[in-house]
Amino acid sequence: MQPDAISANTTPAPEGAVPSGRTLPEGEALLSVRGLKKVYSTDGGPIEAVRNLTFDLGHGELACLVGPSGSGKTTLLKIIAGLLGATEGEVLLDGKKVTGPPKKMAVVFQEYGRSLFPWLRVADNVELPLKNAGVPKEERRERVAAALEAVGLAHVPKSYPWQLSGGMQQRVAIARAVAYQPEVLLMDEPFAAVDAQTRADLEDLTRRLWKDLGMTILFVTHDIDESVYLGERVIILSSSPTVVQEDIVIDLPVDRTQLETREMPRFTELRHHVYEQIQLAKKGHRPDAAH
Amino acid sequence: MSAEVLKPGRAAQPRTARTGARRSVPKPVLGLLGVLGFLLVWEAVPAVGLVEARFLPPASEVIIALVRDFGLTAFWLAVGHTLMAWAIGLAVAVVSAGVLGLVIGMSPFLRRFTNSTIEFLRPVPSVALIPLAVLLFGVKIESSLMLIIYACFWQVLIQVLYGVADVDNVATQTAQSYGFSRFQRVRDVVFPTVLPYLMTGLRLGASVALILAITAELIIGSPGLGREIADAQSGGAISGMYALVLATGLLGVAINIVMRQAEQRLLAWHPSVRGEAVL
Repeated sequence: MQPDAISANTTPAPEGAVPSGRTLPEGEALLSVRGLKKVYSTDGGPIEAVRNLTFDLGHGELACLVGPSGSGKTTLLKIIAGLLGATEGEVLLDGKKVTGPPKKMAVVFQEYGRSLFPWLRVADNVELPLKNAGVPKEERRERVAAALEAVGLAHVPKSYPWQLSGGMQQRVAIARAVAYQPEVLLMDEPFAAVDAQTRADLEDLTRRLWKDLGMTILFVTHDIDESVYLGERVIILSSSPTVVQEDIVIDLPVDRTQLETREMPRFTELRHHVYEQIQLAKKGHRPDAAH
Repeated sequence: MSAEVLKPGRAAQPRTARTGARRSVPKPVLGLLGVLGFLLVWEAVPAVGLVEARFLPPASEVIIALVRDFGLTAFWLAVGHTLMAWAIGLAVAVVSAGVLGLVIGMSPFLRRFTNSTIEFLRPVPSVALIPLAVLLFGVKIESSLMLIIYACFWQVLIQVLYGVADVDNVATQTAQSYGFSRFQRVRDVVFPTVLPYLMTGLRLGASVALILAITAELIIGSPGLGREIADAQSGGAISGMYALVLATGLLGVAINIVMRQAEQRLLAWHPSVRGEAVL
């Protein structure tokens, strides 16, 4: 492979067609987003947030969705999570159309303080979704303990979330998702509200969970460095109305460390490339410009 | 991980009041001194002839009458009647307003549909219903209950409606994304959010219920402390009357203490409590 080649797996679009992200042969994709469009009707007329999005997520992938602010990242995530209806197109999980929040999905929100229930202790917060899903008590106890252990919070099960620091609270939210054992974990800018050092720790935690537990993760962020450091793949979104600008493979080693990985020439190249694409997107360059 | 240190929760911080209290008189002692001072003034006023003793007997005489009351079955029967009306009325109001508040609050349509009606009925003073209560139920306990329930119902309903409106959007979406059923969402997200508001409604309602229980007994004559007060007054037992008034005051204080205790127990996690509660 050429040292500076960026392997884009964006399906080459015929002249004038809407470009799409990487798609997999039928039956292989865990999550499929097909021709997704979202138009909000407001008092000032309809606003097209998402124009046409198509990509697939395979089993065990860790993909980052990155785009300029206001590019409809959160809208997209909420549609995938079944919290918001699409205007056109569809989301398929395991080949089944998503119409409401699917049982096999978990979401980690940016606002951990509002996502955790302040009236429940840490362990109870992690346990509640399992309880409501009808998991037997003994298994619940084991899964909660294992999840808290995995995020390094085994020592505070009896604390209330509001007694913990921001980073620890987000760990609780992640533990809750881990214990739920979802097929797909969606993360909506989960580390945007924590300080830089905590953020680095949480990024490494996410990579570790992905590697050790074999989770499939779709990670939304506006941070270019974060997307390249975290992802095995980065899906770059255009500015609103959103289409897939580019879908690239991050061919960095699987074992990444904050110091060494970020100093690698390859990291810099990839970061440079993604940065350029985002700048292009901000300036209004669109892959579907011919349209 | 070293970047994350466990921040002490607000509950874990030492109370600042303690350092301030070392220099001045402790709070409970100061409160007790206040009560003693009040009783002394009360004792002195009829003694120096400022007010005639047949209108305001000295405090000592009233307290003796109250202690004597404590030994009488009739007194405890009256307390029982008053407390029964209070408890039943409050319970009916809290349960009905709680359930209705949840149902109305969670439906935008019902909210708009009932808003004007609630705003119209709420300010009607409960005592304005006394003639109606007498017409319907005579001097029985039901008259008291009707007044108590009406007054408390709105207090609680308004609080619950505020509580439901305060349910966090992200918390709701979290519950949805984990596939909570509608019932589970109400039980695990809506109800705990509403609980602090419900407790406020309950505490306000508890005082209002006592006021109306005594009012109903005084005016309608249903059995209880209120009627005892009216009887003592018409029988010329002035010290006895004051003793009973004192008893209603003590009852109010007791109710308030119990309500505050219950609130602190149930809402140890809530920002309004977690500063003071001992975890």
